[in-house]
Amino acid sequence: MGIFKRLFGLFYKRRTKVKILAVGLDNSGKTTLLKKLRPKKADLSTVPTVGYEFESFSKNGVAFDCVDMSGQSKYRNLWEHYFTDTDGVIFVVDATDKLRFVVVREELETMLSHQEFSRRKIPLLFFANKMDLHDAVTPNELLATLQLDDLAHPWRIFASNALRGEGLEEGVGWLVDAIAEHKTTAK
Amino acid sequence: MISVGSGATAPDPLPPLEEAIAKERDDAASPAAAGGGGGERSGTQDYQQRKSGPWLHAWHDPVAGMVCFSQHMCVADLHGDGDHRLVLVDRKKRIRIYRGTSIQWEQRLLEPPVAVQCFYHDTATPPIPTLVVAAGHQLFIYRHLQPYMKFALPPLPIDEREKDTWNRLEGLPEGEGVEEAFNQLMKLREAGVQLSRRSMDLLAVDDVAQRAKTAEEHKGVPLVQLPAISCMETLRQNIDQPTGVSVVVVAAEAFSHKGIIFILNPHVDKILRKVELDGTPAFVHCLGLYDVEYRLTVATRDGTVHTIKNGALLGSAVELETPCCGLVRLDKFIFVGCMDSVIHVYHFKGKKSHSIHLPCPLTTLTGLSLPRLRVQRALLVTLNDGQVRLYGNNGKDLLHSFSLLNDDIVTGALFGQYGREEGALVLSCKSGAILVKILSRTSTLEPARSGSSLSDGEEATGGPVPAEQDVPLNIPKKTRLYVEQMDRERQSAVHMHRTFQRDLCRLRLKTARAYVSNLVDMGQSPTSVPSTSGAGEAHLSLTADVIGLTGPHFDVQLRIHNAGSHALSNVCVMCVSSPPGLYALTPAMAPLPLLLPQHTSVHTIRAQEQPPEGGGAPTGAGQVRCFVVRMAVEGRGHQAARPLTTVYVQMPISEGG
Repeated sequence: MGIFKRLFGLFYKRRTKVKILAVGLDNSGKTTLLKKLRPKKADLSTVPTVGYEFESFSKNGVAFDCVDMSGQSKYRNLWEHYFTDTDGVIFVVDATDKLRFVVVREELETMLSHQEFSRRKIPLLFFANKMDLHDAVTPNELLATLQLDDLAHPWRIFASNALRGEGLEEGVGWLVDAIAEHKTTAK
Repeated sequence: MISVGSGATAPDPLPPLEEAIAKERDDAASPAAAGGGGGERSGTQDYQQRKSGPWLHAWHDPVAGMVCFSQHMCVADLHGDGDHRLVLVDRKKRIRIYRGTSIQWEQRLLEPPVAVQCFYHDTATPPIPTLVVAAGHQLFIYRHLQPYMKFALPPLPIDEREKDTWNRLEGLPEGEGVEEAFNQLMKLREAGVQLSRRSMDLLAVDDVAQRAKTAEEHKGVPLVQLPAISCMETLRQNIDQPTGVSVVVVAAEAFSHKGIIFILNPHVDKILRKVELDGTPAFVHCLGLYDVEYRLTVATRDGTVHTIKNGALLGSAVELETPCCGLVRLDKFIFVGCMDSVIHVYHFKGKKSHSIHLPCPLTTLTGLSLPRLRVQRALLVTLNDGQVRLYGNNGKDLLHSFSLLNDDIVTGALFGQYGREEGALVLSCKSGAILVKILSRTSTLEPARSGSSLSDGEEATGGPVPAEQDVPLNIPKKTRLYVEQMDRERQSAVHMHRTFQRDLCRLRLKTARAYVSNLVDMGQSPTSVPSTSGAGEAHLSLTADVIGLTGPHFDVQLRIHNAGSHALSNVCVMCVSSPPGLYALTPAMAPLPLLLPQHTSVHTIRAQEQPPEGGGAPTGAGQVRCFVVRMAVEGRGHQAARPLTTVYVQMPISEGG
């Protein structure tokens, strides 16, 4: 197996391919965000994701394999099954849902306590989503509330508006760079 | 597939974390203007722990200014958007709706509210619930946050004789006929007629002039007795779903110590059923479906728990020792919190299961029920010392406990879906604060094993049961012999006891006899034996050793062995120095203990050589003469000493002098 893997690895070396996991609480905008990220324009009206969905697209010469996880509490235990072969994680936070920031923090901790996260330094991209709404908190406040300072992983937070695609490009651009950097240093 | 990144972990290749953070902050500051809104939140976080046991601390507003009882709170998806709002009413005649952490809507109420409920009146999509606020004898109904209609409970029938009395009084001028009416009402009351509040008021006035005044005040006002709503619940009509259409169950106080339960249709304009019962209802709990089968559990203020099944009051009722202050039903059990700090647990058919004893009186009792929990039901009890306790396993295990700060007390508690979080606990406090806690997804609500979790710094009195309690004692098996013995004991217990007592008496008698004979023998021996031979029958041997090399201190050790067959008493040893004064002997005379036959007793005498008088040189070695003497009482009453044996001890020459 190892030989085949290495062969394939050589073969695909030129193309950048990243596997990304999109997580976050329900109604935070993961599905909308991924739909908006796709170059092909799609209908942005969504229904709550059940279980998970796969999204594959290529953008700026990078092939994305995204797993859009459901954020409902009954499906959150599925997240960990996809940690093993993910290159980066997009954590979408609803910046208006102040009541559940503590739940976000809790889920983040649960995720980081998984052995895959302690083994690898998987880059984490946070989106403070729904910036268009008037009661949204700023990314600054969000990172203070979520205590992101003490994360051992490379991370960054971006303000985003998934409906209009604001902030998505910068965030994903950083994530791709971070993944590439992680790969080169890991080798 | 390329499997990248898996395999060996590399040493940290990233820039130092601090740098990343600093950079991050600069970046994050640019996209949106930094506001001060988040400060309030982080401030409350230091003061209430973020995570404590199964609870995540979501939100705390210390200055909400609403003091609500559990009946004054409800959560509902008021706009059909999946975001559940919190509806609060308080005694200051306010209704307030919270959305997340902010107030969405607030209005004044016409009367002080008693209870608030949300329910679905029809099956529209998206389902929009109806909000109903009970106050006095009226129900105020809101739809889409607009006052929609009001429903008044019908006045209660008043006894004709009472009506006549008041009607007669109506026609008379002021002050006339009041005494007559008073006596008539008194008679009616004694006859057991349920009088209206007005009549009760009049009967309560002692002063005659005051009575006339009271009667005058009521002239021109029609005599009606209105029920006073004391609690309100909703009961699903035919579908047991969260959005199922519900009927409204209203419990009201009718006359004094009488109660009526009204069941109103989903549109709240018709009374479907009316049940009367003894005692004022204080708490109601509904179970089942109105169209299929339902049970209402009603706790009254006088401490009785009634059950109404399908509209009929069941004959069996639970009589409590103290008034009830909380009623919760979980699964098949009814939890009744009483004023004596005890929660009694009954099976819903009335059989008592067990009791939970609390350290201090409870303020609220709430049931937690979530399908996703492994232990699906838990009981939340708040105490009047600020503790919030969580019990599982039908109240048998204390799962977790935390305390409010600053002597705050929880006045109302509600568990349900708030916002998008289905396991949210809303607490309203005496200080007007609102506290929202969220049940952690990963918590299983299982009792903490001893020494584990509960160590999160918060006060956890009571604690879980120690593990030793579950370890069974090592009780040996019942053998056949044991069982036979048990049977025998059971059958002839009296006989066995008597036998034992008789034998015990015999044993005591025998012991006493032996003792006496021993004493008697001892006393007789010297008289029976001629005392010519010095030691007589007492075969004593006396040996002496001198311990000490150079002096002037010596120890003379006497070994006295009784070689005879009888014990000797009243024996003492006497020592004399020879020449006199050469040795100071301590003790010169000492009583000896009872000398048992064939037993050696050791006695030590200290001999100190005295310097000769006049300061000359020591005179050399002397003797210590020891006599073992028996003290005997002679016939005429005076004591006489008979020497038994004697020893002369040659002392060594002292060199120390």
